[in-house]
Amino acid sequence: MGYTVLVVDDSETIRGALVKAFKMAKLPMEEVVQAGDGREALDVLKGKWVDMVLTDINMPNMGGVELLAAMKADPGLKDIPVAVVSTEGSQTRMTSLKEAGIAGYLRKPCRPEEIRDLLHSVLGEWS
Amino acid sequence: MKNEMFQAMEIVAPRILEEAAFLFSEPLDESAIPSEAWHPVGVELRWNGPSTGVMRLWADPALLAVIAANMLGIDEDDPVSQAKGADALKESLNMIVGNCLTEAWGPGPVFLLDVPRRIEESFASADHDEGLWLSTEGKSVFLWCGA
Repeated sequence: MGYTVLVVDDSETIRGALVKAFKMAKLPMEEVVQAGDGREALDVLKGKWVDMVLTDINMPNMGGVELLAAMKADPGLKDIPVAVVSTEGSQTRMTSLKEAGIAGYLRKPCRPEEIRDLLHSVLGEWS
Repeated sequence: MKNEMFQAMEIVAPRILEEAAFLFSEPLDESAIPSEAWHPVGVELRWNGPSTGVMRLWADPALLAVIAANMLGIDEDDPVSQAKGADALKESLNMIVGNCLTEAWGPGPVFLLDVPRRIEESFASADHDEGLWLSTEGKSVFLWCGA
């Protein structure tokens, strides 16, 4: 048993690096589901329950901001916490993302312990 | 083009390569700068906002699998490392640009970044005097930033 997390990033390398970081942080992962953009993520969420979504912002087809908006507009998805993992460092952007309902924000490159702290703060420590 | 973005590149690029891929970089000695016959792999990323611009990153092909392997925590001879090298280079540039923009402009402005893409333009067409040369784990890397 453990966390089930959906990782959304158009880079397979970044998705793989996040999976590596989960292992390095010794997080109890039930499953890491992956999607290459917001549209794929919404397709995954139609048939899969997850504890949390970690998403990039800039992606082709549907970015992280649009994914967040779509999830917040869907009664079945609006309560799933969404955290952003992005290269962007604008405080203005971060404020607007918080107002839009993100549960957390990490800046790339991020360390395993930062990812662990984010999951603990959003989901609580697994016991 | 010794402007704010160039100065940001000098600070940020070695830090990102170290933090994201555990690769150590130092300024490339002028005598070691490759000739125009060098055939690196190139990627570019454009942005819009308070400034518009583009950054290009060229790296020695031998470095790509190393970047991917270190990001993924696998061996550089693993076929996955070989396959993901260009993607890893694009993401390295993505992180460099995002962090350079904050370094140069501060945390206030919002920039819209494109998706990084592979470029086919010959390295020989770049202005070699207007960029940053690094030696990363003994392999040549060249960063260029323009409007």
